[in-house]
Amino acid sequence: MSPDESQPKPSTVAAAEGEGTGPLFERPPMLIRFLDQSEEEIRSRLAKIGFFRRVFLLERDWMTRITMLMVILAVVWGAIGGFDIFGFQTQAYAWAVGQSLHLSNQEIYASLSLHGIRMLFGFAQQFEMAIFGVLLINALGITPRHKWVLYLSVFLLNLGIVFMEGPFYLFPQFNDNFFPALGWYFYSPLGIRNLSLYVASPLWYVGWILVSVAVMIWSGWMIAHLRDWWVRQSGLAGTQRLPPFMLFILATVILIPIGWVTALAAAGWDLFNYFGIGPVSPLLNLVVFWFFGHAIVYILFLIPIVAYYLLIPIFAKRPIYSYRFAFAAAVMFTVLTPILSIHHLYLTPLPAWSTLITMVLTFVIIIPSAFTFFTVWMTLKGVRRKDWEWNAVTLFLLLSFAGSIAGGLTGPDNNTISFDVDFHNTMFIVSHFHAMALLSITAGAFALTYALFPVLVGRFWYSPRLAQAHFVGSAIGWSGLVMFMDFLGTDGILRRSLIFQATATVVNDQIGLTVFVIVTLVAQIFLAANLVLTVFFGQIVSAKGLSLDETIRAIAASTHPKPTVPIRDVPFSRQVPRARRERAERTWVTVAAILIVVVLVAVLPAAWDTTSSISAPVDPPQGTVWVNMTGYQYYWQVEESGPISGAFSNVMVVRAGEWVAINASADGATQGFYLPFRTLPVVDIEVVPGSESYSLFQAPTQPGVYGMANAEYNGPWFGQDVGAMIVLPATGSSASLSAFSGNGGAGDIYNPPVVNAAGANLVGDQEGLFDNSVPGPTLSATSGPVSFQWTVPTSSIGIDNYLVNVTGTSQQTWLAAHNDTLQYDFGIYQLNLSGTLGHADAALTPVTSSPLKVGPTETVNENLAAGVYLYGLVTPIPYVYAPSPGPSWMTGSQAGDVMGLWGVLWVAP
Amino acid sequence: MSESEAREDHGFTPFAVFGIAIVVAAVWAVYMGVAFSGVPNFVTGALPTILGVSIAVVAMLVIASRAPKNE
Repeated sequence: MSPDESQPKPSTVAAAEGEGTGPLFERPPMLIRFLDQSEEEIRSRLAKIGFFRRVFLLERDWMTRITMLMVILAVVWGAIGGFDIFGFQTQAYAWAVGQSLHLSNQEIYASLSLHGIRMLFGFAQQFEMAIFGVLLINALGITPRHKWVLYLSVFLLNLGIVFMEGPFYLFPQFNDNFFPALGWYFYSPLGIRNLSLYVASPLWYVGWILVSVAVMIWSGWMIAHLRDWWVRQSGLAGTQRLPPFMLFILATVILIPIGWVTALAAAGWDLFNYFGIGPVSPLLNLVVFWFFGHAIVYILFLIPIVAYYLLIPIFAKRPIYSYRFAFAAAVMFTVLTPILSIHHLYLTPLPAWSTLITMVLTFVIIIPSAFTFFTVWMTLKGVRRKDWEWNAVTLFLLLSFAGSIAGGLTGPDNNTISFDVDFHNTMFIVSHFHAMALLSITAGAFALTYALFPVLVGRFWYSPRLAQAHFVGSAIGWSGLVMFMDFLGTDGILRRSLIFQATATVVNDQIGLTVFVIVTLVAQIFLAANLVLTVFFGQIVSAKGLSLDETIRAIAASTHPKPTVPIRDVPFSRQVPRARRERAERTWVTVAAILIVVVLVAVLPAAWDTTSSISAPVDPPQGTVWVNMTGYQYYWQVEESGPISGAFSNVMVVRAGEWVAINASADGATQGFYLPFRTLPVVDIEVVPGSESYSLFQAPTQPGVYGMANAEYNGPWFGQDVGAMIVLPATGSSASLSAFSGNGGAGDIYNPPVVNAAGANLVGDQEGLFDNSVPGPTLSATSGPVSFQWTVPTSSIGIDNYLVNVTGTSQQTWLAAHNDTLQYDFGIYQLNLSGTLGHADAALTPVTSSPLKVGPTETVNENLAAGVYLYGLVTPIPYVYAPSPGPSWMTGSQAGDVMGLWGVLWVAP
Repeated sequence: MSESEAREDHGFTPFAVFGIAIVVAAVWAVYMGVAFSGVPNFVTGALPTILGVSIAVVAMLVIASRAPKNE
């Protein structure tokens, strides 16, 4: 070995990239210096290390130790978050295939909330902090300082996530029904005492505050070290230029305090409101929150961007295509990201100018993405096949790149307000998000993991086969679950839908989604196994005489069964001048910019129509029926005037083809009014407490019963919160439902199924619904004697059923003590229209009713005239969850007015 | 590149593989937009965006194929 090979070398690629501005890695990275011993020396040292010292790298420098700690914690949170979604999806699967649910609504929605929290913050945010921190220290060759500040940040971050979980009881019986059922994002006033019927533990808000503070401390720690570098190189007079990937780490460091301070503000505001302090403004609160909600997506999206700019030049053995365009992309991401909050609120009653400006700016943020993906891709142009190896690092880079394109290109769909209305809050959005979160961000994180984890632990990957299996399983699992989420969104299924109409399409999609969730989770077991085996049994990594780039190539080669590409750097000298390369970049970006302008011009009129009609009423045509709607937890109170007057719970009555003007407000939580038609314009508006939302639409021309879902999650009984728009014929009181069934009910996936009343036997289920449907099946009959059966089995009364409160006494005990009879009447109610066709008063008149008896099968035998009737419990049932030990100020509490055991009886002439 | 080197370098280059990935991902994204073609406001409210995305991807492929190598 020559003397030159005895010391680590600076990056060859980095040196070539400099183009006259000096080397980028002034000193060999510290991690590599640590490994700069012979294999024998390292082996001898490791032989003396025990289990915990080996796992937590306790023999290493403190920076490496804390990085490893954060990686371990990220993996742990990721594993728990995976278990959370397994819990949720198995329940959705069970519902789809008609099986019993094993978890309560509260537990199911808490699983979903905690899945998001643990994955986004415990796993992704923590992983980003770990990797970006160690990269910054080593890339800039700085001595790490302020150890306890970084430890404090890690402590608070993880403590905050624990706090968000809230309390649970181990005694007298296990009870985790106080976990937060809020969604990973939280819309004020949902969960806030005295403002919402569903109250979360204040620990939820404290947890958010701790996490916000933790990441901002980390950001300050990073800035302190960037300052060290700046001072050391005498500011701009220095000779170093930040490596391209460092530009995006710098962007992250800037975006984190800007983004997270709004989360801190929103959570702090909620906490004050929780204790009855300060003004309440749900609309402003959610705008503030979404400044964070949007920023966090881009903050985490910078993980794969950093992976591309760090790793692709290393494997291509050449610098990036254009440093200048990478710089421009980093600047534009940083400037635009914090100001796009409102594009998550397009259907919220905000001033139309604010949503349109946000739409334009969101299209503009396509430009830095265009820079990035073109630059990264072009970096590979000229790399020969034989010089490139498809190992785990490069495969995950490829997957991440493709995932970013797939997820990113559905972004413009979401950003087009007039298109967003078709799928806002549906699984389409969840699909887009997971395309970014999994296929883009997590795949990029795994590329970094496969490149850098062995540098941390000093051992090569143990098993290339496990790495391959992990990649294949992840690629298949992620792609499949994103695909089936998309299909569900196209159907119109809302996000967080646990209770849905189990049509054949939806059932198949839910089964497909479940299969790919399982494939995804199994694939991660391969990674976990490889991580453990690598720590204990991997071959020793000796970086002696290797550059950082060579070390990473050597590590990546250990994930390939038969590596053939030399790891050594090769000299690179520029043949193509910068001007020629940048000309191609400019051409591409110019085309992209022109297309954005053209698209904007084309969609702005439709976008304006969509958004302006939500925040302010539109002049309706003559003969419009006026509907005032108030969204409660968990039903709509409807008051109509105009051609039809009346007041109903969860029911709207209109005539075929009639114009309907909605004026909606909400109480207790933000809600959504949603008619997910597919052959008519979709009706979809967000309804925020303290504000009014408007919608003007034309009712379907086919008489029938249309599902009217609440589109925004508003608490644990969200699934039951589906009403019915009863469309009467233009004249008369009822007509045949054959035309309604024939055209698929305008494609509204929430339409209750139409069932012939004769022979119908409605069975109450554990969610307090008839036949797993809310509203219950629409019973079809003709005038004259009408007969059907119904039953609410005793076995259906449990923790999922709102019909009997959960108290210190078991629900079954309560039933037995009350002779199996509820205090609510099961009845048949006629929808009476009195008056003229142009102005009729509508009211529900009882035909028959009696207290609901649980257990026996009851038979309804009535002689009914043509018309529309409601059956079941047609007013909301007050529900309280008060187990023993009961709710306290620390646990939160749960109550609501739920309407599920009802449906429409449609009697044709 | 000599003939023997060319033989040795058979198969798709990483640049080509990433390009194929772009096409597959873009086709998927466009397909998901087109899935809403039955909705009445599709032509005025959605189609311009989907067309814009489609044209942008084609433009990117053409410009990238004609651009100088990273050498």
